[in-house]
Amino acid sequence: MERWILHVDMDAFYAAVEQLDHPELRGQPVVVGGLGPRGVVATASYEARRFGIYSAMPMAKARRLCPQAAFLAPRFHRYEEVSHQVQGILRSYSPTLEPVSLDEAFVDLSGNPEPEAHAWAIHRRIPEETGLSCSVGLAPNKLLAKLASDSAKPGGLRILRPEEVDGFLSPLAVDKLWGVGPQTARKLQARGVRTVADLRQAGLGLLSSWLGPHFGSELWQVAHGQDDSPVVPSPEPKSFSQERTFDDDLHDPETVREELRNLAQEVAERLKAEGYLARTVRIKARYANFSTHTRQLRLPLPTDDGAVLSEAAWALFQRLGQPAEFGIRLLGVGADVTRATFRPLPLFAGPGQPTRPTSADP
Amino acid sequence: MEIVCRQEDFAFAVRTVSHALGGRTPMPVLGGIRVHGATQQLEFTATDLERAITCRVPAQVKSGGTWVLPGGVLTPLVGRLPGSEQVQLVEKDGRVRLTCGPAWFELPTMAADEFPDTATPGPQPLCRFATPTLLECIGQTAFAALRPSETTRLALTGVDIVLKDGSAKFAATNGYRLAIKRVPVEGLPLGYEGTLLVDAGVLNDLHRVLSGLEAAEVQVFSDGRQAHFLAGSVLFSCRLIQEQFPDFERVIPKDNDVGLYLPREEFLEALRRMEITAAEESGAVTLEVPASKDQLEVSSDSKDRGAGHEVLPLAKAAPKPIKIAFKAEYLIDALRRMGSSQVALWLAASDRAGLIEPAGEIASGDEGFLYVCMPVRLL
Repeated sequence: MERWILHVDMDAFYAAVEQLDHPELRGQPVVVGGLGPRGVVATASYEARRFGIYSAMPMAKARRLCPQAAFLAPRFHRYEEVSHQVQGILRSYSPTLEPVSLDEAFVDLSGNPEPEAHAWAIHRRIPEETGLSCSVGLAPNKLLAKLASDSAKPGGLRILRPEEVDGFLSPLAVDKLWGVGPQTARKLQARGVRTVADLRQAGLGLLSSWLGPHFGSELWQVAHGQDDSPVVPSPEPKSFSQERTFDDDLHDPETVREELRNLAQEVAERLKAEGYLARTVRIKARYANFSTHTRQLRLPLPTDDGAVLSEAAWALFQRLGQPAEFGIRLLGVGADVTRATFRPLPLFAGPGQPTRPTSADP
Repeated sequence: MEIVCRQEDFAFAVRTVSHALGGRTPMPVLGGIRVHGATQQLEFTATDLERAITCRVPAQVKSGGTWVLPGGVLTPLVGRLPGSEQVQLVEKDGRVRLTCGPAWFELPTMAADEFPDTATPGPQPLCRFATPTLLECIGQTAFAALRPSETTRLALTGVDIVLKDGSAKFAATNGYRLAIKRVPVEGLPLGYEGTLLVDAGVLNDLHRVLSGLEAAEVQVFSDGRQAHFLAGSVLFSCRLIQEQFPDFERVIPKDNDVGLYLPREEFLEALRRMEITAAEESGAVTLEVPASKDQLEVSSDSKDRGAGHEVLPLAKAAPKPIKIAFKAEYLIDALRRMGSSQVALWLAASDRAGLIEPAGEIASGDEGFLYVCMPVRLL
């Protein structure tokens, strides 16, 4: 069967959502990321990119490059909401959907009688229904689909039919390929390899001797547009976590306890909703001075009981030895998860057995 | 200080107290063994502040005093000393020269005044155990407790020792299974009721220490904050966990009416086999008494590891069919610590706790042992 893989990439996603929700920001440079002194850029709008701002750049540098931009903290809840909306559209074309991140997904359209028509429909519906621009690539495998959507950015659609693959790949600069970072690119350039066509010319033997047999053969395959990796519908999550940054630092232990309970409850709800159990519990606390502390414990048996998670989270917080009075700007509760194929039954009803801590407690 | 001591006694004392060395603590002196000599006797002490072990051995003390010697050196050293009746220790220029036959060693000393004082028991013991009995009590319960890495609740890392009505009841649980051992004790004051909650890891250390002793009896002392176990010349002290152990009596099933009488060894071996094909996440095995009611089917099934099935005879037909799943490890944990040829597994329903007790000709080491285990529900 002919394979048809579609790749969707939302353009400047976080910034675009902010511009959608705040009309006054449309057409303006918008930078979303950590606003603290150590923050980094998560997404820059296309207007901001013109000033040389890009993802992972220190926020301080972005502020220097474009002081007039709107600098915003990310609102992941909202981005997730939009992401689910996009996934809903994609799922109506194929159940085999692999979300790569909030703003990127692969869809397997193999076996679909009209993959090209559906690619066009997806490309039209997403902006219509979400108000956001996206780039779409349709190709015989994931590697090519991603390269195709990259080449269509922003806002375009690129379809690569099998007979077009060679012509599409040949002129591409090697650093556009998966796994080719600046270092490999330099290495290749030093040997006169600049484009994918050059790579093919070099052949498997030379590539392997330059880059090692493993990476060499991988790159050779990539240069020939070969990739048989499957679209894996929603990969098994390894962990769930919830975090919250507070507008005003928390100082009161009771408030901290309450917030941890809420976060643990949210994790538990997600566990139940998606059919998972927590094997570990961990907490994260970032203090006013930006020092970040984490603690974790392994549960004797996995659970999705919010009360167990919440009790563990509070006890772990006390174990940090960093009192709330220092001021807390962020709290997080997380868990490593496993599929809920079973449910252990507790011996004692409810986890909150009465305890009486005394001064002898360490 | 200058002393001469039998090598055998010296090695015994070092080995015994080494179980309490606090090598990984931030106080370097806790990595040391304190050697105190007075009146023809040497007293060895090591502590990690959680537990302390003191051991006395006879010696010729030519001049008394106190040293703290590095435990990390002494412990391996006593196992490799050359064959010689005696060892001699003499202080010289801040070092201690240990001479044994043709070999000598010069050991650095640590500041003796930094070594923490260890508590001593009061004059009157609370009760006495025959040493083998105490060993059984620890061996059949401490395993069931939570490890400190698994919990934030200190209480469940401990073994609760309930002293009451002339008996001692040891109980440990991880919230999903519960091991109980009840034995008679000597010398408990009439009408006395009290509990000692001791860290399970500490009790396992006590088990190791006692296993190497010849003393027939262990005296137990407590002041409510510490417990002391005195066996001959060895004193083992530890802190008590100052938390409330859950009320375990109320979770012991009282009306489980499906009694399955099984040959212990065969049941244990079957579980160990089925554990291999049990699902990795749950480690669950299914126990099923079919409609014929005369046998037990033990099975496991997993996505990646395959499936297994085995049939065991029941010594007595079950009153009704039943199907229930347990974490194999939890059943194995208990069965392998028993000695009787038969066990009785009492069940009520697939979502109710099961109870294991020795049956048939009960081995003396199994007297008073009871094990409660919650099932898992397979989804």
